[in-house]
Amino acid sequence: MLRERLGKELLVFDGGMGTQLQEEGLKAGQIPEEYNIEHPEIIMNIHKRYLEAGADFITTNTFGCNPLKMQESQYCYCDLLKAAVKNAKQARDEVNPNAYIVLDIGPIGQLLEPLGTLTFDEAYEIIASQVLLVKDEVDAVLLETMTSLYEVKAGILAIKEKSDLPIFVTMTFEDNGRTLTGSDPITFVNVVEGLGVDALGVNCSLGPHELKPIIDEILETSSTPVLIQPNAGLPVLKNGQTCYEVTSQDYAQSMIEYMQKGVSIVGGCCGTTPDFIQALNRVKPTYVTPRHVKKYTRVSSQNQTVTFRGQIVVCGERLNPTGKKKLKAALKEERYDECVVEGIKQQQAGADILDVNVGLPGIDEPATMKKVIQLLQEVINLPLQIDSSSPEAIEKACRYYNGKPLINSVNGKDKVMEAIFPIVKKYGGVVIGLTLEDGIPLYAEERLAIAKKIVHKAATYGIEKENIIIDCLTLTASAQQKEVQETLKALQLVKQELGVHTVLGVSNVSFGLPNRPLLNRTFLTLAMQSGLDLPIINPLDQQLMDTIDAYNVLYHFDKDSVHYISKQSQVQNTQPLSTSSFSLEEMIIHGLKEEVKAKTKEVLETRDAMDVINGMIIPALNQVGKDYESNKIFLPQLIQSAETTKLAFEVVKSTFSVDSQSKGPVMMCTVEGDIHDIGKNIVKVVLESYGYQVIDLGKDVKVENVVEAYHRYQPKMIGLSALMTTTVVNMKRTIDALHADGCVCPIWVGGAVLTQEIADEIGADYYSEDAMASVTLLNSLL
Amino acid sequence: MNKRAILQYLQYYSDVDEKTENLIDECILEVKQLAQFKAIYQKFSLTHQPLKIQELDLLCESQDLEFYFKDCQECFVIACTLGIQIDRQTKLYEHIDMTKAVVFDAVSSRYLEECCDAYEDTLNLGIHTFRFAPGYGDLPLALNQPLSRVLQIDKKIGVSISQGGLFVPMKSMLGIIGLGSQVEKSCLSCVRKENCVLRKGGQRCYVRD
Repeated sequence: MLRERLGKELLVFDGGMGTQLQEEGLKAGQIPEEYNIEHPEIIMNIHKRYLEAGADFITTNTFGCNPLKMQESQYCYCDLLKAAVKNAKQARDEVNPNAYIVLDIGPIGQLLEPLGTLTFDEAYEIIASQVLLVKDEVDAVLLETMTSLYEVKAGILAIKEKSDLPIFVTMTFEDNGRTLTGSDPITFVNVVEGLGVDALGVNCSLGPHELKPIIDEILETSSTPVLIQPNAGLPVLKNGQTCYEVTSQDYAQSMIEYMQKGVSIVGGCCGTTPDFIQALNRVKPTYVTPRHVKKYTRVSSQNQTVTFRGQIVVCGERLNPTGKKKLKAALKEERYDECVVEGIKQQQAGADILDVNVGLPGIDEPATMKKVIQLLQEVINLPLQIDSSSPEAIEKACRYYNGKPLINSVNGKDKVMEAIFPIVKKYGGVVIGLTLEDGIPLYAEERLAIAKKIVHKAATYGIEKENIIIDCLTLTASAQQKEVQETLKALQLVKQELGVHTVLGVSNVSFGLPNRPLLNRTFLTLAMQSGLDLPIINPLDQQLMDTIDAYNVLYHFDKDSVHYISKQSQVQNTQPLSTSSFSLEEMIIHGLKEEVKAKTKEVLETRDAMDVINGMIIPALNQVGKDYESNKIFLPQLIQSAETTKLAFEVVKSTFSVDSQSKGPVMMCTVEGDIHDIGKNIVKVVLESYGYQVIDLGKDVKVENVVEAYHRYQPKMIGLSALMTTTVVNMKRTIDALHADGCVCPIWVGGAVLTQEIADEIGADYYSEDAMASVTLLNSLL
Repeated sequence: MNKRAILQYLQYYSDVDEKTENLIDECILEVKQLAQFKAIYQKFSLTHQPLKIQELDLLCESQDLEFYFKDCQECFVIACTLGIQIDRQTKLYEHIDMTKAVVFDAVSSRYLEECCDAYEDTLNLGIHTFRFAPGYGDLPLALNQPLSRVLQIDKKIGVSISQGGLFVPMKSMLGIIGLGSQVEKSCLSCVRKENCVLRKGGQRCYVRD
């Protein structure tokens, strides 16, 4: 059995396929996979040469053999895939029947959403279809040369859910130590090991020498067998042709070090040949050198990992609608932008992890959770904590999350653990265990008992204690004053007896008492001293964050007080914002965003809200519009003024209801297939500054979703944006679909390649050249 | 970096105000720090009438290119990118500071051009033409697909072309340079001279019109 040999015997993969094919006559622009059908003997001979050189594994010639990339081939990817496996089998039968055939899967060639357009489900389906075609005829699957961790995740899930085959994953790292989409080696190991694979490692991009820091980091972090397939040195471009200059002997020599350090499988990538494999075979030891890997609790996003080493890890609590009217309304009205802004603020304030809770009565929690997580992960690097009491929402969030999530939470009830632990295991998360069953036990020892129960039960699911963080539960001083210290005791006990990390929602302690921040930070200090690792707090509370900074200095986590000094010296230097003598109108005209809120409040003390809008804001805005049209000011200034006006409006609106004053709603989106939405966002900001309520559907919005949203929101106008001629096609499809569905609402279009002529051709009602033109148009129509 | 060019992207027709200039400086620093410029090239032979990339048997159906490449026997295809972190940061600013997002976007566009120019300079191309990107003038956008595949831009520099024909990351480009012929860089030798927004506004990209 292959799985039994992995990590024990040192095994050898084959080397480069592309290099060999080029030697056999493959020309630039030809599709290598077509050789599987057109020149099977060439492919078989390459496999045979590798087997004769001593390779234990041969990989099928299927690197780009997916339905998307093979659209350009005259053959179906299915036939190319089957032919590839047939060739490999025949070569194996002839040379070494004990060798393994590995289904080779390279990157799909499309970037996944949110920054690209391929959905996670589409990536999953593509890889699943490849696996299903040949799963009974291969011995393992290799995801290789991967640059996107999200694609790797889709691939692992597809392979696991469609077969029982061993899975090997190798990613490609650049000389900056990251993949092209920004993942670092520790994050890669943490996420992929969590999902559960049979071997992981690196291939391609660099040579064995240059890959040293990356391979070392993987060996130090991974408990899973490690596979490495470097290139034959750094690629050298000669006349635009890629060449490799490291010899087989030198290659094998530099690989010895890694084998001595505990690599389990060695092979080669670009530029390596059967000679390289033979050289490796000569120098390799029979058995794998054992490694001792220290385990840590680690949570990751796609490009950042938080390792719990004893320092305080701050989890931002603000993305939770409980007790927050504004966020509640935003979630209900699907204005997710506000969630993202809340997330960005917490990241900027120094949070290490963000809690995400979207639980509201009447909301589709799993769908909302998926949407919010994807939007957050588009711009925020921090790992997320998925917070829900619904197993369905947790499962969905874990599936679509890019990274290794923190899951909040299970408790001591068997039923809850039985629902959540399989999800934690399958998707490889870290889970928070609350020390409660039917209620919160009063005494520390009882909470410890529940913690023990959780840790033991998790072990039966194969969840190690590094993947559990225990919540000892904060009680409210105003209601259970005597028991507050039981929480502190429980922290100590759990740490000592179980050796797991701990978490607390801190601010509960002060509920119902005056000057809550004082109690919060005092309790936090005591809790940290008692062993708290992960306080869930409001990172925008500066004093609370300062307390943590001070703690990290006093406990020597902030070495040489570097972080403390840089932050606190800044605090000392900050001068209070000088309030300028500008009027509200001048602030709007000059775009003074920082000062406008205070000024608006000030004028509202003496003037009526309507008067402020009609007598000050609107005239100032009109002046801005005129200045822009006469080239006195330009785009950045126009937007700056628009954003300033928006802030002023927000202050006015908070004092009385001006809903009757808001115009619209108008609905906007960037059409299907188009991800360039900066233009649409400019128009949106400017329209909002003129008091329009804008429903923003986002970018790359599928035709049917626009139609569905039209029915749901009943807008007064629909604005569509597209950047390229190729996506204007989808603009027409969207307009056609809206019309076919009986939409009578006027549609206006804009974007780089659009003209009045194109707008007429595709059936739009109006065209506008830029943001100001959109304002003029809407003002004249609505 | 050439700030005048950045201001052109931002549709400035006169002097810049201090606030915007500071914002541009701030964005230049950030873009330089965040960008991961990567580039790749390959050299091909050309045949004429019709204009073809010989090794790929690829027809370049473009009168503009026929004209500019008429004396060129070879060409370089260059693809380059600033990497995905620039897209990510632009999006972040779109959420919290639209003004900065717009400036950041313009600075990134300019930075890509300048990085690509600098890269071009390292290739010792000898006498050569401008860089022509598919989609520019009458050079079909569809050329991006076969050229990208040959250069393996997804594997080598992490750029993909979406089903809608867009490069991801957004700040990426692919251009063709003809060798052996020179067209002096001037506005009148530009294929966009008839419909250039900047020209209409009285601006010139080059010293010579």
